[in-house]
Amino acid sequence: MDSDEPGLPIDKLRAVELERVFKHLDLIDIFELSFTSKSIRGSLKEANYIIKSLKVLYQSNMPTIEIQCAKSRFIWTFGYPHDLPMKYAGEYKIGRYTYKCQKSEYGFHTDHYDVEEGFLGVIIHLISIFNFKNTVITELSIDLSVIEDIRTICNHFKKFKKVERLSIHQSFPNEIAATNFNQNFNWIMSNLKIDEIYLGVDGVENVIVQKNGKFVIREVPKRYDEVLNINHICLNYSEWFSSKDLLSLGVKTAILQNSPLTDEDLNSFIKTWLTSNSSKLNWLEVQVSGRYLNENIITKDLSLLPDTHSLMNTCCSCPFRKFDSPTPIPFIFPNNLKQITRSTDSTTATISITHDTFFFHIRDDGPITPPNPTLPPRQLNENDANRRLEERFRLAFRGRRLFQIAVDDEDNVNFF
Amino acid sequence: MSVENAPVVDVDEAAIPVEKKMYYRFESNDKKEFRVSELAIQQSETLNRLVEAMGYTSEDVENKPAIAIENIDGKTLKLVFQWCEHHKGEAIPVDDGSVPKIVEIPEFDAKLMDIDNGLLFKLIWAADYLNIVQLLNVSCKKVANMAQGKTPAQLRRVYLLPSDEEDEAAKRAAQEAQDPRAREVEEEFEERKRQGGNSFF
Repeated sequence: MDSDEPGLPIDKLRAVELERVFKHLDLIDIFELSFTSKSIRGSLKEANYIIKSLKVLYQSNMPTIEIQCAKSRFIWTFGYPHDLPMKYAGEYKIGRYTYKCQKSEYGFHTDHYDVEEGFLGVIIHLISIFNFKNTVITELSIDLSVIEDIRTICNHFKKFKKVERLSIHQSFPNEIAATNFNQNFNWIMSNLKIDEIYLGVDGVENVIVQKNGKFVIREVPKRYDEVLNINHICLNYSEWFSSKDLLSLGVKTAILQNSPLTDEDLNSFIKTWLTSNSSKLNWLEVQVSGRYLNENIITKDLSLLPDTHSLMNTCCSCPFRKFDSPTPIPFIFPNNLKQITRSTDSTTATISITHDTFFFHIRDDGPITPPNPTLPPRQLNENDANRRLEERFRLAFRGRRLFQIAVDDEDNVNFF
Repeated sequence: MSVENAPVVDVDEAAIPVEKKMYYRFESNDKKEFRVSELAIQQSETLNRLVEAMGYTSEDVENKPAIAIENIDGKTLKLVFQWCEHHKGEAIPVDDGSVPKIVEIPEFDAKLMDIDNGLLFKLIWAADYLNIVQLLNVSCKKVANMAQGKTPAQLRRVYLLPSDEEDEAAKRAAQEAQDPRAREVEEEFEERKRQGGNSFF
């Protein structure tokens, strides 16, 4: 625009025309526009700009919010990604905070210490300008080192259509957060519609057992039974997962790490699979801890043939083979692959056994799609160390208060 | 103004196909008359329905008064009909609901819209009023392009957006204009505050 030319008063356009203008803008421009005035924010909301997916990563190194519509995406990070060209964009007031932001081609980046409330403020702002009614949360990743009260956080997302993947992990130990998580796990599973879960934390529970005629309290690994009802599970600590659970497995993908299952359990599993006609299971991976697998016991009494799948494939592409990162990791085939076919429906499974991992693959559930260009990793510096320390202090003061608020009024925040 | 005396604006008549003999006559709100081919009119859902409902014959078109378009001036209507003639016969795009819209502004359209913002504003308004989907698309795209890479402060200048404070002030002024007593009450309240009273009553 010529600097001398008067501007074009878009707020004088009719609603249909204004909506049409907004729908030609990408998410970053819409975000910028939302800071011009309250009235424009209202118009943006009315324009019904539909957001397809939301990714929320409560992580200790670079907490991130990402939204996507059909042809554009927008990222907000608390922290500056390393090696990403960006320039100072100014101050943006969201909720009760004013953020000094850097802007890159992906979105906005700022340094801020209060991740819980900062996140909430940004998400509420986004919800005030875009339409999230049918938005799917593709990834809700919560690092319990950062988030002490997981229930309050999850409560914010319970009205979303679906959580495709929930990832719970812990970059450094936080007992209060782990306790809160274990106490609220049932609530989380019954309030979020989850399709895939990664549990990177373990828990213990006390049970009363009878020993020599006396009742004693014993600590046992906590059972997370609710995960057995969803489609894709990846458990970093699966001490609680018994042979009985394995034989009645009703999921599509199961990745069990640090498993106590025995070679006999795995042999029984294969035999059970051979006689069943369930076609649900696509992928089973069991990694045992502290011992080597015995292939002879696992394959005892089974008619295994050399595998043919690996002639054309060097790795298996299970899109759900993800751990604490949202990026799927292909399984690279070892040399000694075998296959077995069941007589009930002629389904063939590939079996491979490495020194500590048993791998049972029936079919790929779609290719691993090339991941979106990811932000470069953030390099930790002195500020980050200070930031973590401040976050710890903040959590110590605030954790219990937030938890009490959540218990008192679990519907205290409503996005919609 | 009689039909004979009305100024006739040329609208790229060389491009009018031989097989379409019918030209409708339209008159803007400043009494400028335009002759537009039947095929070009199809780009506008509003005008297309109107002429279908009128059921004019070739004689009617010549003998009856031009169809008046009350809300659009001649300068804007000329641009609209130039656009319609250039794009006649083209399919009308259907919105697939995806955002942001991917719209390329053709060279002809870019030249046509190389106009001041006041006229561009009227063009958008006319495209919407006459329901010319693709013209509305390209004109809105042009307005959207003005926002690319701008900060909120720059956007306020480009789009002449009042700040929240200016909005509030304008709202207050409008209220006060309606109710002069409100201003008096506010002044009285301010005066009492200055005198140190913390209660109005």
